[in-house]
Amino acid sequence: MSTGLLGIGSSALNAAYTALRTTGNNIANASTAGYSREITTFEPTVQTPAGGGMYIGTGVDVTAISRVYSDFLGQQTNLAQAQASQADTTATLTQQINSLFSSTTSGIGTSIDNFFTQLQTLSQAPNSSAARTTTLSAAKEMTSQFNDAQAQLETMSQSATQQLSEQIQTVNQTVSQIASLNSQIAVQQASGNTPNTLLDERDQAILTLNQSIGVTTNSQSDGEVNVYLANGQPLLVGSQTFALTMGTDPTNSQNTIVGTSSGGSIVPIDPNNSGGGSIGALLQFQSDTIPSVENQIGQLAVSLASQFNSIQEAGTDQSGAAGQAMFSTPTIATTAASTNTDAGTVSLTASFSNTSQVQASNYQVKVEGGNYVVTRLSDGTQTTFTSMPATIDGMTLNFSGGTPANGDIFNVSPVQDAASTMSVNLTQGSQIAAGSALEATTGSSNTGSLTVGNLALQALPNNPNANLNNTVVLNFTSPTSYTYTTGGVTSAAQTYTAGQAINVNGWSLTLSGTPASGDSVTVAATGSGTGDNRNVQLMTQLQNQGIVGGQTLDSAYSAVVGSVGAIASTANTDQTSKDAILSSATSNESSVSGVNLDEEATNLMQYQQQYQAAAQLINASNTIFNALITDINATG
Amino acid sequence: MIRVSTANLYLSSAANINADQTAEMTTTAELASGKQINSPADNPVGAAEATLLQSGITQLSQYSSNQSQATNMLDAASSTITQATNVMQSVNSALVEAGNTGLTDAQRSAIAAQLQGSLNQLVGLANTGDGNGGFLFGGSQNSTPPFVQNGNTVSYVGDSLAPSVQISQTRTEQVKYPGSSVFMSIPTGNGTFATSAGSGNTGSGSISSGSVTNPSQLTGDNYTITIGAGGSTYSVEDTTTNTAVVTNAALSNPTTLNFAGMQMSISGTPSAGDTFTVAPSTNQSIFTTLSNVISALQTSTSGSSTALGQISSAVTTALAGTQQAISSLSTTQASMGAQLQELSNYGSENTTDSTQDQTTMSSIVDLNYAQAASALSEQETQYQAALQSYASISKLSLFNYIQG
Repeated sequence: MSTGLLGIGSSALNAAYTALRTTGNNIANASTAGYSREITTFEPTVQTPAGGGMYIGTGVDVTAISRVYSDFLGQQTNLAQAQASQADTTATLTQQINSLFSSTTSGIGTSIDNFFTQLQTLSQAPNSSAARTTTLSAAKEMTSQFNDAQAQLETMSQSATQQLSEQIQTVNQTVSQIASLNSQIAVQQASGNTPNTLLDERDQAILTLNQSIGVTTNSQSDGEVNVYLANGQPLLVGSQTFALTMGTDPTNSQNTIVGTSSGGSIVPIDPNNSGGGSIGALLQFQSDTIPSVENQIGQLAVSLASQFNSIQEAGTDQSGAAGQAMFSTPTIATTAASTNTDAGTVSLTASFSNTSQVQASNYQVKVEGGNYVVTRLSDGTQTTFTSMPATIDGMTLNFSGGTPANGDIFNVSPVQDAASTMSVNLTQGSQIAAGSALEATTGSSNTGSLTVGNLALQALPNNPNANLNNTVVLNFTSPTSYTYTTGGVTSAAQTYTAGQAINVNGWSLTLSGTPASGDSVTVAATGSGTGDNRNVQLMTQLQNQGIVGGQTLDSAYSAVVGSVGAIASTANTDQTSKDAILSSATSNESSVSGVNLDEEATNLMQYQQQYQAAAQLINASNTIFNALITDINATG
Repeated sequence: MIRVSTANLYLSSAANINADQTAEMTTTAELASGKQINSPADNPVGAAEATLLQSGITQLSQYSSNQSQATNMLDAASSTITQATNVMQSVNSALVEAGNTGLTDAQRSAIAAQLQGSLNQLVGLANTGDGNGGFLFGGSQNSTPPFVQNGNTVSYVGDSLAPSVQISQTRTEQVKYPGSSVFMSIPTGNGTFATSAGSGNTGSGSISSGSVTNPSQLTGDNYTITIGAGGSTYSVEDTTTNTAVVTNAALSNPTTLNFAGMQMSISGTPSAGDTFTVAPSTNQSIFTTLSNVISALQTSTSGSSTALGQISSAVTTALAGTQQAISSLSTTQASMGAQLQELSNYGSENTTDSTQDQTTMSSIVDLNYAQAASALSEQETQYQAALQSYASISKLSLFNYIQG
């Protein structure tokens, strides 16, 4: 290249043109996601000696077209993106549960209230077949509300699984994309080039990856980056990718786990420490949020069904028969880990011992050093038993099929599925046991002042007395003594004290007043078609008893509403704040890397003028040259 | 100086406009529903409390319905008892009339017929329905009328249960009084002891129902009063302990007897060997009292003083029984009255509680319209400003000024 004026003009023209192109590219990509603005850097070319110890400039060189990018701000944006995606997904997911519980005039709570209202109406007219039918319908409506709620939660859980698998696919595709960019960048860098577009693309891909799952990156000297999950497992090392997969938790077949495979098994991402991203939100929703709501409504279902059944079974229905369970009897689901030494032979059995103590939680039973460590998963409380069977939180645990080996793990879900399996067993309104099983009647020829007080059935139905329904006649031989006769057998003389309970055959009777000799009291089965409402009154009283882990049904349900609301409201707040952080991080990053069109307009003017000036230089050089030639011609 | 990237400028303007729109939409939704809690997430604590209040209000309205039912039942029972008391008052007048010794057999028979009518009327009242397919005085037995009349014998086939309904969270109210206690268990005699004339008495002597003079001396034993030779003396023996209490005391017409804290009088002219017994009061049904005296009044006397004496005793016993019945009915009615009073108190308490709950609920759930409306207009202003600033910023570009 010529080093003279023409050379300078030419290099200036070239530099201005390059700068104009860069500016043009910036303008063209002003709205391109992930694009980092580029700047052209110039340097004067080497000066040449001009004699007399002077040097003179020879023009300008374009030394670099570099992208304006801050690693630090990029990382910040990635982190903010992972958290914001998690918060967004969580907010969307929890909003669904929130909607499920948003009506104050329908849903589980209303149907429970309605059921008890119908029972109260039944207590006014125990013989009314209309009241009985309505009560049974209200019971069915209530169970279907429980079923529906659980079904909707299950649908949400399934949809979360579906979304997980889509997200996993996205992650794997993105990781492959990063891998291929890695190798292209390495090749370019090795040949001394700075592949701005590829770097932008890779940064954008990593950002996309963070939308799905929070990752950390580690830049290598050859220009490649390695990508790791929050649990330290790599997704990408150089150009080698590790696929993210979904599977079943070997220690608890009910849990879905996500992670990379290592030695044939999945190293799971901890749902509570996932690093963020939609996958983190979905895992948490599936493993924590859904089970916790299911457990709470399941706890309601189990307590209500079993306590109600106890009362119903202790009573007498309209035909005079003993009441049959109104609701299906709740059972407990258990699973054994597939990794157990005795997998397939030893299983855990669990049954309810006191449903009012049942907690809204799943449990893990682990054999450690010959002891059985039972962990309540809702709060992590551990209880160690040295032998089985053992009773904890209203249920009795035992092993069948042998003794489990050390390290074996079993899972117990006492109430998680209860809301979906709750159903009404009775088919006829007449089967509602509105009456008590027994009735005490004073003899019609009694002459004393004896009156019947409270007649209670003891220890029912868990330990019923086989003779409970047998007719017992108390015969008073004096104001202070009596014998009782049942099944043709007369007891020895007993002492009578007014107000003191008389216990026979599993019932307890309190009499008051003074009997005359020859007076009698008969305790016998209530019989059919009576207007006895004693048992239905016990049923209605359930509404205000602490039968759900010490809380009443209403307050337990309102606690469900409160906790669902709190989950959704926290998610909303979290979403707002995480979005604000993301927006600020993005704004910070774009204030460095983003294109400002006004700035580009000034650049455009600047380089355009530089170009015009350079062209003028060439023109000047030409003019000078022409003048020289003309002069030579003229003189020559 | 902070650079602003053009794309980010547009993005953040759009995000701001979006946020303004969302806020406005939320306020509009609140205004449309009139509620500030449209889902639990809007206010978890408030939503939980509202759920509880809602079930509380539902329960209160059910208690209110139970209270009405109890009030209706007790009102009906109380007015039935008023009618039964009126019947017993007329029985009382008839018996006073029947006590007149100058009556003829035919006249007594007419009174008996009148009493027969009263008996039938009483059975009808005792079998009054409860308006729900059951009976007011049948206990929990609903299938058949609780009082079965067979001739003059009335038996009770109901039970001795006293059905109740829940009228508040902690209180149940008895809505029915079993017939066994209302009509079947009336104390005989004066309520403490009962006197009667021996069935084989030949004289015209009759014994009054008597009264208690000294409760501390009451023994609860049975006593027999025997008239001595010539009908001029009497002796009293405690037949429970077989000890003589009074021996050969003088007898005139009438004579007042005093022993063991009790006082009674014998009038008329009993014959030697006639006996009277004094026994602790037992229970007897109103119907038995009536049927006993009806059959006594129907007895043909043919002027026999013995028969007249027995009729007189029967009438005396029946009068005592009637008095006891009236007093027992009024006691029952008084306790119904107390219950009705209590129900009325619970009713107003219930209304107060329900109003209170609804007020609390409204303060939690319902929207403050003034506040929401002013918030909406503020949001509108903000939205307008955002739109305007977007419009003017988007017009600004250096390129607009350097053209040409």
